[in-house]
Amino acid sequence: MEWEVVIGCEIHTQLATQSKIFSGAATAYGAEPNTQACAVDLGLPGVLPVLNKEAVRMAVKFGLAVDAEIGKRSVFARKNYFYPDLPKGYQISQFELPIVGKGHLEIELEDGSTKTIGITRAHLEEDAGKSLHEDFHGLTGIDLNRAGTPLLEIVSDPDMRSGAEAAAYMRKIHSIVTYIGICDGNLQEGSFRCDVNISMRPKGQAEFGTRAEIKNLNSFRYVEKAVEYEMERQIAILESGGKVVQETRLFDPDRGETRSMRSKEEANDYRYFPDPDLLPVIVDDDTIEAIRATLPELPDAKRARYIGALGLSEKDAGGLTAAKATADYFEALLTSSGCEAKLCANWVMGELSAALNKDSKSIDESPVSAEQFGGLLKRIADNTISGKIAKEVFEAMWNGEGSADEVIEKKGLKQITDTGAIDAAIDEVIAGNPAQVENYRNAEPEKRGKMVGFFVGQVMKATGGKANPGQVNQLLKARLDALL
Amino acid sequence: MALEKSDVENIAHLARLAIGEEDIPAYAENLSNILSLVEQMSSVDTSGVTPMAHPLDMAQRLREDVVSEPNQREHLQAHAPAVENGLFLVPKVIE
Amino acid sequence: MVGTYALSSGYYDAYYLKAQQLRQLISDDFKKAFEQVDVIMGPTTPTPAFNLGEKADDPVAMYLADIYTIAVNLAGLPGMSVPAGLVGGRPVGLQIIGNYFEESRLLNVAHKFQQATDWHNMAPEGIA
Repeated sequence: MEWEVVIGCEIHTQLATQSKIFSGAATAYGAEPNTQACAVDLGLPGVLPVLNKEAVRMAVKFGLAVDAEIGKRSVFARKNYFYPDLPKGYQISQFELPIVGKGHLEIELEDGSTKTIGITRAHLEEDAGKSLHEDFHGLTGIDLNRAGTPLLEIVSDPDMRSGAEAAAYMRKIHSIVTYIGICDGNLQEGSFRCDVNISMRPKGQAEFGTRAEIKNLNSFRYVEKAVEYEMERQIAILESGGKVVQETRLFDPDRGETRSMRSKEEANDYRYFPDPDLLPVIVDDDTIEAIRATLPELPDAKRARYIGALGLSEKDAGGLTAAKATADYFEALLTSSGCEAKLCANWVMGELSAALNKDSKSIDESPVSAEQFGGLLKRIADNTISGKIAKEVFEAMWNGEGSADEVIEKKGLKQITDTGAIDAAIDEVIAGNPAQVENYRNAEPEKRGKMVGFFVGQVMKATGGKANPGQVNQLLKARLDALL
Repeated sequence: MALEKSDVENIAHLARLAIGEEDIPAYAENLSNILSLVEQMSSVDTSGVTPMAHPLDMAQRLREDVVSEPNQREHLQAHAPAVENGLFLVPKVIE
Repeated sequence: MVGTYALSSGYYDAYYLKAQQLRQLISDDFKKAFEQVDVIMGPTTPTPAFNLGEKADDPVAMYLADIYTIAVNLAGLPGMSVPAGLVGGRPVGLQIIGNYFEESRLLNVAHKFQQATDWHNMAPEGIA
């Protein structure tokens, strides 16, 4: 039987506020345990939550970025469950009336096509604390620093049909939330986590199969792998006549497997009800428009502009716009170098990303700033150095050896454009390779063009790569043809 | 509406209340009586009535995003039964 | 236990949601009444105080003992109880209910009532 996978995602994004969603405690990552947990976060008796304006603003901003209906009247509800890192015994979340309603976005697939993925809703809620299960002589340690951190939970429609689509969706949401500055997007620190719902159905069947939920995936690659594993697992169950159990599973990246999270699965009954401590949140049209005015150019629009106005390839445009930091760097380079977009794109996607990858650095941490990089590209544009030499200069700049001009000067890498010097090198090469010269003379005219390459290489070698290759090519041709 | 033993057990579990086996019949009876009283609600036609979650027809007031609560860990952990390395200690919750 | 049950899956609509709709109707009723009157008064409880533990085995009777004050809580209105005499030697209260944010009127009415009566200076026998 041919099977089809149906995937929906719930992404938890930590909102980049200074203080918590319902208290004035700090949200900074990495603080000493429980030093950023106040009486409200601890759920002590008599405290009342007061909603953070910025969290509301950020949620609305996301809604606008995915073209969603904004909940002008949204309501906070209590989601009841017992766990020690949830001191109140309930999580304040939104249930019936979320702040963001139906929206959509586009993902780009590998074959270059795009696909629209629906956003079901996005709602504000508070994060729970952290449980540490090791090293406490059989007890569990609780750190409530994270308790009360604002989260925006973004729920997709079940629109994805492969692990690659799920990963592309997660990347797109990541790209959007970081572009609009509502989340730092830090996957390692848990600022961005994805729960994936996966079910299988016979191809052509309209009803969904029973789903399993894979919780807390914090890598795009894991999403893809978890989906692939889960597809195989579920198909194996279904084809052997079994039934998929609706349950929560965890992905083990070391083994590339998912496993059931609880030995005894109990049906959740969260007993949601409107939180009496919080009144409905009203967002009026003026506020919405004011927030809309703060939206930056979004990844899709930027990508379209790079292709349309700057003439970049889809691949370059996609690569440059996936992360805002990369696009910002590229645009700064465009300004500082005054060079063509294509040249800037090649260098950012080529040398720079390779160097960043090699040193495991993010583009924000690049030792070569866009300003300094611009200095290098200028020297290519004005023929001071060739593209090949520029790579050498770039490496020196990367290693902190100074600006492009300083490196060129110090290493004497300035391109030789003086015809006399190039001619001298040509003389040397012609004299030193009589056999090749003879071959050239005897060759069919249409084959000679290719044969010039050998001599160009030799001249470049003789000049230490500093001669202008175009100029060398031109001069050589003239000289060799004169020998015919 | 008469509650069964299993209903009482389920509710107690949801509420994380420990109820002795011998007390279950009394709970079942008392809860059933309360529910019968509450049953009177069904005689009122509420079709089209918006459920009222809050008594006042007002909007939530919002707070500026400012850190106003300093670290008070020592103070806040003073009443905790067990603390180590700044963490609250609780009975182990996973196998 | 009752709260958990009323919120639990399958019962929310019949109990919690229905109660919230009734709450709306109760609140609407009060609003209508306050278009015509300044305060609403009546007994605070249906009966004088019963003996300690007398109804401990009957939660429904306990619930009903509070019945006259519950509507005020549901509607979110200010209310107060002032001494209004003795019945069978036990004190009873007069409940005064005011409109939203009219606590001052409530206090004024209660003050006038106490100027005209002496109940607040009386205590049941055996209490000084």
